[in-house]
Amino acid sequence: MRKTAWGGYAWLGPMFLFLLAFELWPFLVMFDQSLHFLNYTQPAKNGQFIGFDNYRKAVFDDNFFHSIRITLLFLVVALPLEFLLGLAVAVLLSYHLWLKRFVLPLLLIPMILAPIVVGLTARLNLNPDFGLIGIFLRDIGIATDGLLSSGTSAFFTIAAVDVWQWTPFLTMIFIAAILGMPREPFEAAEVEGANRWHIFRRITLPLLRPIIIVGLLLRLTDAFKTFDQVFIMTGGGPGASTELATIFAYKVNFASWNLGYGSAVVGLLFFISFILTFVLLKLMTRFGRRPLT
Amino acid sequence: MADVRLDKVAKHYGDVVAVRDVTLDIAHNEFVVLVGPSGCGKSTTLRMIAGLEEVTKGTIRIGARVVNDLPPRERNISMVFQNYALYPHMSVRGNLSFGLKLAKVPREDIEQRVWEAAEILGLERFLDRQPAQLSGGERQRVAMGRAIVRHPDAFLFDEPLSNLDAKLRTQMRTEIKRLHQKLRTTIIYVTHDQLEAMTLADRIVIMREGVIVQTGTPHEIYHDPVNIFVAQFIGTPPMNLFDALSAETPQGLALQIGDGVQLPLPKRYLGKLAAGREVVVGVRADDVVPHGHGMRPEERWTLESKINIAEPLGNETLLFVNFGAYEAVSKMLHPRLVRQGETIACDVDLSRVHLFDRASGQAIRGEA
Repeated sequence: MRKTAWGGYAWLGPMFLFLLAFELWPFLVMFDQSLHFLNYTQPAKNGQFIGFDNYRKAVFDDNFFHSIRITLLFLVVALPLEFLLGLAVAVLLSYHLWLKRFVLPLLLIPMILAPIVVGLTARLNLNPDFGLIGIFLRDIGIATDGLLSSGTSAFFTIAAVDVWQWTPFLTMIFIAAILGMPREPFEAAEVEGANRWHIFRRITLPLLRPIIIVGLLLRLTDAFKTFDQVFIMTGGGPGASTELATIFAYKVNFASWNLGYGSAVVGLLFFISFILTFVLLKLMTRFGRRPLT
Repeated sequence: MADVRLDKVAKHYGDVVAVRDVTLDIAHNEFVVLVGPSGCGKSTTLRMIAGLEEVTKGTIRIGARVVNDLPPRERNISMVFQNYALYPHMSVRGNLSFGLKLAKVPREDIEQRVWEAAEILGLERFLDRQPAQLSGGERQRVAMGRAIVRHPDAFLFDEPLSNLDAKLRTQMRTEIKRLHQKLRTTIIYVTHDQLEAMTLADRIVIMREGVIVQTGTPHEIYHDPVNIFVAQFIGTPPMNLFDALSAETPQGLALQIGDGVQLPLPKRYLGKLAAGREVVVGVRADDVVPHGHGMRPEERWTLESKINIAEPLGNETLLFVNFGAYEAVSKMLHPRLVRQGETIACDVDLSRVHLFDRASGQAIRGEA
């Protein structure tokens, strides 16, 4: 017995060491840094232990709070759209299965693109002087200086790009779940007098609920970390209108080289995303508890 | 309540013909069982009646209406599926009342009808449970309850008992029969189990390769099968079949079944058969009975046979005995202990022997 147990740990060992080296160690280093003064623009005071001063500073930093507000707004705008569109496309596809062959490959494209590629493609296309979409919008007089040149339109544009890239992900997991459902309850409902709306509302949607929660959880944690494509498209601007918390953290750390304060910011972001995930996980287990078969 | 009429109904899937030209009149309140081996088109036929499959050709009527182009929800039928098809996220009560809510039945009526159905099926205790908390038999009862609360014109059952264990199946079979007597509704029932068909049906429809082979009461099907397929499909154990050649003997025409054994031509076939015809002789185990064990044959012929194997079933014993060049199954009622290798006199009731044409497999008609 004892021997097999140790054998098991031996198999886990390499992965554990990997996590230790690349996850836990940097995290501890970051935490350590956040308790010190560490700013390469003022190297004289570097290394001084200052306790939770960096955290106190972050909590009262308007710019930090602004960036969190932008992140939450971004989630609130993008996720429901992704969810509704993803569900609608999945349900429509499930009614017209022959379309699946053509639509699914198209849906895969945005997902397999690197965020940087997505960001660059969007930025170039939206350019009012030489971008395909940009010129078109300029010519019909909607955005004469380009969508990325004003705060509001830039914000909705980065949300729209996220919707474009990640709606297919939700469509895919929803369609997989729908096609994996037993057919008979649907046929039974049809015989019992249900039309398509009834079936969707009373059968499909309730049966999809666990998948919906998992999908939203994945999207939430992922969207919270959004960085690359937005950074490429707007760099957080104009002004700070698209400055997500991740971009704010990047700027503090690698533009202002204030690593002590930056570490505290990243630590707080970790804490916030931890709370969000925890709440969603709680919701998930609450809904998931009901047996499904 | 309504009659159901199928007129030359066919179903094609591309080049594959699943059902061809099925014509069938099902009377008001009749219990009809479609039976046949898998792939014979029985389920497809049922699903076309339900509206879950489109009809390629022909017409289906329920009552006075042609329903070919009506969606399932407008046909006023109920269906019970093989794997119950309960709504997994609704309680038993929710499952039972779903169809009624859709039909906007007033709430008091819903409650009353759900309660009635629950009483008929003994589900009162389970109304607030989830399907996952029920056993297979209970789930199947909920599925039946869901069908009866709606007071439909016809019930469709698609192999409803196949997922249950043998004991429960027998029990539910009786319940379904009782239900039919109580509700007096048209029932169309699909099964591959000939025993279910025999026990439940007012009328059996035997299908094979998309075609109706024979329609008749259980009695007719059992005692007067139209061909070898039906003869073998219906009845347990299956009918004994022997290849035989009709030949002239000093005693008249006889059927040679090898090893020098000659079965006299049954009287009802006199004049129906010429010498030298290749036939298949069919005789059920019930009609090959060890002498003194329960049968009073109308037209007795006795053969001394060696017992190869005996299968005691308690109330009867199945004996596998030599029969000419073949082995026959014989049913020994009120059994005594027998030994393997023992020789036993078997009475054959010639009046119950069936003859089939060997080439076509069709029954040769004798005098009734």
